[in-house]
Formats: sequence, C-alpha cells, structure tokens
Amino acid sequence: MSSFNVYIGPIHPALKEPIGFTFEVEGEKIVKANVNLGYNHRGIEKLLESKTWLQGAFVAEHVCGICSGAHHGCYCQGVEEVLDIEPPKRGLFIRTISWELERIHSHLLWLGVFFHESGFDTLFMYTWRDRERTMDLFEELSGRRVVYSLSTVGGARRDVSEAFLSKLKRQARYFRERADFYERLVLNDTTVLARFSNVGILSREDALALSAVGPTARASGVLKDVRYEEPYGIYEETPFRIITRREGDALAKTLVRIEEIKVSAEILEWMADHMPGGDVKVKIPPLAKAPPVEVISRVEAPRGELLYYFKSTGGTRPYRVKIRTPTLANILPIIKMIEGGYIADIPIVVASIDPCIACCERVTIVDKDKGEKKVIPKRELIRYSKEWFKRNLKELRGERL
Amino acid sequence: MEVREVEEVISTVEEGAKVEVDKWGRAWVKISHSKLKETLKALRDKGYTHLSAITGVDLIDDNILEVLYHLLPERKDLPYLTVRVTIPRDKPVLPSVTDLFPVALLYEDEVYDMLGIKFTGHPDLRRLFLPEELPEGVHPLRKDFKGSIYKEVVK
Amino acid sequence: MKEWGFAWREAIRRLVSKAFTVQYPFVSVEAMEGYRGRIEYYMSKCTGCGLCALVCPAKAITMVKNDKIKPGRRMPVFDLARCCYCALCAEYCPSKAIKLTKDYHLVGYRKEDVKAKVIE
Repeated sequence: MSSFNVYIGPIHPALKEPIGFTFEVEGEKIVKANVNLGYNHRGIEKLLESKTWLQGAFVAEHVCGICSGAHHGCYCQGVEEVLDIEPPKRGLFIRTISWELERIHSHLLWLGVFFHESGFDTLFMYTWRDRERTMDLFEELSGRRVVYSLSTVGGARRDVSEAFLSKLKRQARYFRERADFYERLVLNDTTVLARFSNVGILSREDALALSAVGPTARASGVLKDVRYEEPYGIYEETPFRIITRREGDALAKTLVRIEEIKVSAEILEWMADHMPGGDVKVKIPPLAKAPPVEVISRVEAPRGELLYYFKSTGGTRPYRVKIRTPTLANILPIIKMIEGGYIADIPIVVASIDPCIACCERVTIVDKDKGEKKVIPKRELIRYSKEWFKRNLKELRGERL
Repeated sequence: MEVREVEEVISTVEEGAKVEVDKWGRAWVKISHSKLKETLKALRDKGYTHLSAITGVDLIDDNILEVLYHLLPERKDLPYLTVRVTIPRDKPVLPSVTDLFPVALLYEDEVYDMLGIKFTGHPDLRRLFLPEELPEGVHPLRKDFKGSIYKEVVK
Repeated sequence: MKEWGFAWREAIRRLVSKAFTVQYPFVSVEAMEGYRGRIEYYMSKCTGCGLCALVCPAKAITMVKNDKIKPGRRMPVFDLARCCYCALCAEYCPSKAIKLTKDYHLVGYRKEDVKAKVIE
C-alpha cells in the first residue's frame, strides 16, 4: 500500500491560529506526524521591555482574546510581588470573579466549536447563546465584552454593587442547569458517543512524560492544576474541587470541561455570598520604581498552566518578561494521540486540546509516488470528515461503543 | 518545605551548590553547565517530573547568557525549583535535555530562535517562530539587536 | 442510562418558543452604563499636565501646542485608530477632563474621519 504525506498547514483544520502539521498516511490510518509553528508571532516579549510596569498589563492582555483575563491577572499578580504591594481582599474577590466567569465563557465557546467541527451545528448555536449571557455580565461589570481589563496593579479597577451580586447568583444557577443539560445530551446520544469515544486516547504515562497541562492532562488521570498545587489569591477558602477522569479520550475531555463549568458556578455563588467590604485597590504612581528581584507568577488559565517570569534590575521598566502559554505544552500530545487513527479524526483530536491559535484554511495532500499536489480547502476537509463518518457509522458503533 | 532534601540531591552531583528560597516560597539554585544533564536526571528521579518552561536571558553587561529551567515536583512538600546555568556570550553551546524531558523539543527551539543558543543532541534544531529564510546571527531578543525583522527578510 | 425521545422533546419545545436573535440594524441596541466607547474631551477643564500621554499604553495621545484655542498651554490630540479603550487616561486625569461614552458606532470612510469628541 502506498503511503502519502498530508501537510495540514499553515492553516488549522479546527479553531483559531495558523499552525502546520505533516502527517504520513497509509490508506486511511496515520503512521507519523510532525509540527510546524510560528505564523502568528507578534513580538510581545520584546515589546514589554519598553513599557512601564503599569502599562505592560494592558499590552499583555492582548496576547489572547479568549483568556485575556488570565493573562492580565497573571501579569498584575507578578508585578504586585515585584513592587511589594498587598492588594485589598475585595479587589482579589473581584479579580477572581473575572477569572471564574471567563472559565465558563471559554468552556462554552470550546463546546460550541467542538460540536461544529464534528457536524452538530444546532448545539453550536445553543452553547453560543448561553455564552452571550456571560458577555452581558462582563459588559455590566467592566465596560467591554471581550477584552475586559478588570484588574490593575494593586487590585481591581471597578467596584460591584449589591444588585449585580444577586444577578450573578441567578446567572450562576442558570449555568449549572445548562451544564446538566449538555452532560445528559452527550451521554445519551449514540451518534455523539460513537463520534467521540475512544478517539485520541492519551495514556497516563504519556501525559506525565510529555508534561501536558490543563484539562488535557486531567482527563488522563493526572492531578495537575495550579489552584490545587500552589493555591494563589483566595482559592484556599473557596469551594474548589479538582475534576479528573481515567479514560483519556475526547469524550473524557468533554466531560471534564462540562463539570468544570459547574465548579466555577459554585465558586461564583460562594463569592457573591461572602464578599468583604473595603477598598478595591491601592493606587500606584504611573512611573513606579522596582527593586532588583526575579519573580515567577503562575495562574490556571482555562486551557492550563500559564507562567510569567519577570526580571528587574531596578528602574521603571522590566529587563526581561517571559510568557509560556498552555497550548505550547499541549502540542506534542497531539502527535502522540493521532498515531493509529483515521484522517477523519484529525479535526476532533486537534480541537480536543482546545488550541488557542487562529484558524487557517487549507490542507495540502502530496502523493509520494506520482509527485502530484492537491490543495483541499478547510470546508472540504470537514465535509469529507462528516460524510466518511455517516458512511461508516454502523461499523464504528460496533467498534467503539 | 523540604529544601534540605533538594540540596542533598544536588550536592551528590555538584559540591557546594546552595539552594536559596525567596519570600514567596520558591527555590533557586545555580549550577555549572557541564553538570547540567546529571543534575536534571537526579532531580527527575527525586520527583521533579514536570518541566514548565525554559527561559533565556541576555546579560550583556557581564557578557554572559543565562538559561533557566523551571521544574514542578509531584510531592506537595517540595518547593517549586528553578535551575540556573550561565554560558559565555561568544560561544553559546549547551547540551540538550530532550531525552529526559521530551517537551523540551519545542522550548529549546524557541530559545535558539530568539537568542542564538545551540543545543547539542537536539534531533531537529530549527527556527520555530520566525521565518526560516532569516540569515544566521539575527536573534531579536539579544540586547544589541536594533532594527526590524521585516527589513531583514524583504531585503 | 438512556433516555427515550430526548432529542424529539427538545426539538418540539424549541419549535414553538421565541427566537433569541435580535435583528440588529433594524432594531437599535444600546450599550449599558459604564461602557467604554468613544472618547469625550472637555477642553475647559484641561490643565495641560500631560499625564494622559504619559500613561497611555498604545501611545495614542500626543500633546500639541495650539496658541489659538489655549494660549501658552498644550492640549492632547487623540488617535482613535491606535486607542485600545482601556480608560487609563480617564482614570489618571487629575481634573477629570476625559470621559469614555456609550457610543460604539466608530465608523467612517477614512481613518481620519473617526475622531474624539472635543467639547469647548
């Protein structure tokens, strides 16, 4: 049987950024895989060396549109340690409200795109309608729907009212009911189960050896969560529980994320009941000077562990800032998960790690024997994937369930 | 926090290494670059199995380059450790750790791309984020890099 | 545990209920209070200190001399194409001369047509 090289790149068959893959294929099964990155590089680490300690937070939040609150909060937390400032309790509560609400928003967005890539478009509309309610809450809380910049170096920027807290409690109960609905749907529908179960399995030894982070690692039974290892902020007092499963396939990752929506809703309800009084922030001068220290700041973003490293040599600007986003740590597990699978499973496996990169459009297939090149647009790869699934549904039901 | 256990493990490889703990509970240690792989292997057997990131820093005033390895332990009573290594600026070569931590494949590519440090033993060292057509010697995160990538590629 | 007729019940329920979408250009949608939209600048309150230009992360404010309107003082000029609507300038202005309004329709045929609102 002849083997082909499938180049998926520099565009993505599922979700946002451009990224290039090369798969060596025999028939329908994949034998080897390779990765090619770098189509969305903006030079943010070099740019942060020319901004002051206060301005850098508003540059760092533009790294990612979906987890912008996590980047913003992680930067502010690190600079507060550099400048030796203690933010007040009420400010920390508001910062955590933005983190947990963003986790709900990110998981609902991922659920919608994941269902869309697999062919269930109605569920895409359902989940994005629920996501609209989080964006309305953010608009009332901070003033913008997408890149909110709710915290600052020294605490939070705006205060919340009692009316907003009771509205937050009502919406948290609504999110918990919707998460129950999606869980019942995923576990009861045989089509969904046949599409997702036993696809892209990552074993526990592989997840530990490859240093996977976030729900990708937790779905394989690894207890890895920054809120559990090194509790920061107010997470030691909140009713936080860590969610793991043992199977490690795409269905397990879906169920882990749906359960995390429920945990975040519980934390929001607890915070609305226990909000302390007082100031929300400590004001710092625009050109604050820092002592020569080195600081590491770690936060649990919706996709995994986010790390910021600051080096200061005294002065108003940082000497070096290093950002390690969680998707970079989860790229090698894709290569491990796809070996032995079908071409039609590529969109599902790549989307199941929740890649935070912009979407691209094309797949190039190179026929090694004949030396021909064929370019297939993304719409066609997804259409091929859906039709292949419909044709082989009967055998798959027997094989996978 | 069991800092003494970490110090004992590192002293079996390199004599006289001091582990400092800052006021937030994180540990920092400096070792020489010839003992890098043995130290990381001893730490991995002790329980530090997760490599969070590899950072490169250009200290142009002292004429050295610094590389940091951030490690997370499995036991909750051990501290979060950062291992520091320095190499001279005109001869930047380090051994690669991809056989101990496979995720270092991507992290070392990024350090080579931005700072020009070559890792011996890496299976496929190439530019990760910047265009592949850039000439040798163009490394943006160095402090004496003035200019823009656009001019380098277009010209 | 399998539930019978789950998808059918949901489909029939949704057929008879109201749609969630809003027909936007034909129905006007107003932003909430505190929204960060177009910049409004009150020239009478401004003292020309320059703190807004110092604190802006996107370098969208330049201080220019304008002897016709404000003799002997500089006033800020806002470039709304570079602005990231973070409202740091409004927060750090000592005389509260900058405000961000609820106007989110920032459209025009050229970049220069989108301007901040200057009130004398």
